[in-house]
Amino acid sequence: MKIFDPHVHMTSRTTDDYEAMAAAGIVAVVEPAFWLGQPRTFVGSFVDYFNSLLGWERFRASQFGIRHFCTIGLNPKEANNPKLADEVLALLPRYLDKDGVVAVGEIGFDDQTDAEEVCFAKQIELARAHNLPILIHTPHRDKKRGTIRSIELVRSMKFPEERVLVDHNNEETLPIVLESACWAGHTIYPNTKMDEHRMAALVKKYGSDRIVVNSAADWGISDPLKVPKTITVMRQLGIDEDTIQKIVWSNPVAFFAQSGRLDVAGIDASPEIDRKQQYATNSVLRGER
Amino acid sequence: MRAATECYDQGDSAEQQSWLKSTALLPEPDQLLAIVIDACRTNILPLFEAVACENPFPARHFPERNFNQMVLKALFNKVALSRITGLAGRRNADLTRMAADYASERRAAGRMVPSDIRLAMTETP
Repeated sequence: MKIFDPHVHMTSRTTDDYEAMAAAGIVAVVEPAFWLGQPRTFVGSFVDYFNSLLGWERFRASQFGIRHFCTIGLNPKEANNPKLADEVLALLPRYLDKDGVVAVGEIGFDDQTDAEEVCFAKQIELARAHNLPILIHTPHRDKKRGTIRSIELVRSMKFPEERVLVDHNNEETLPIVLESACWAGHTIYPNTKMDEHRMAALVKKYGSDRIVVNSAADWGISDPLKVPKTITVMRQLGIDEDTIQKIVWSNPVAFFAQSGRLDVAGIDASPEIDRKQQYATNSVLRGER
Repeated sequence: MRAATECYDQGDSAEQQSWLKSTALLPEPDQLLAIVIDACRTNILPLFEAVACENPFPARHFPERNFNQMVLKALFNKVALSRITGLAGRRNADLTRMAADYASERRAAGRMVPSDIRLAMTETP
């Protein structure tokens, strides 16, 4: 089964991970811009990061036969640094026009501060101006309220809900998201957020409409094979193939295709791998050439 | 004061922990507040504990919203709430609701609720 992981921070992963993902059937990924585990304090760090998402990481993925797309945005944690936030917001229009940028994100709430809400709202406006969907990060702490506030903000700004993916849901937030017209993402982590069996139980209860799953696979304890592992558990629990296929392929493709920058026929075809290629004189090969 | 904040900005993790533990003893707490709140956003647990635990600064100076977030983060990270200096005097209705929501979320996920969660609540819901 072909798999689309709609949220995975490949910057933090090794080439072994790329090989294992490709072997498990993952053919396309979206890497959202987020924070890197500790705060960046200069706008130049964001320039380098965004360039890496659009260039080097896309190239690295291609060397393993995986198509790599990204979302660009200022994450809520770093939105709390006012000088930095203004400078990063000023950068965004240039990046949001680039090929391969399939949404504005991750945006949303972390501590649910006023500064976070201001940056969140400004980026919803940017998404409208650049005709892009948005990817919303929901907070770890006070998640239910953060989810409700996020949907209320989208609604108050009259941003089309069908172009919004609300991520990192759990048993209590999923029904709230499904009551709106937004899409619902689930991050399958080894210890926190959501696991494979709980996810399968949610699919049995709520079906597959507007539901997607991802691995997030970042610099913390995480696993880039969580989407294929969730497929295995869903099969064991008797969920039919059409439902699974919708959750791990058709739904994420349909959501990000709204950007107009996801070549649906293109990602259906198997990419060619040519490891003699270079990116800015760098190759994933070491001494093997 | 600039020398004090530079010590923090350019410190390694252990130096930053020492600095954060000393904040309650430094003059002009208003000048330090933004740094201490920002330090609470860390994913480095010992750094978070340097702010949240056995330190009177948060209870004395944090606005309610930031104080509440710190308490929730302690629960998330299995940091004993009894270590938060001045928690009893800063409990409030919003923190009580946040703690109750967290307990409900844990139960829905089939997980244990921390036994000391009541220390964050003004009353049992």
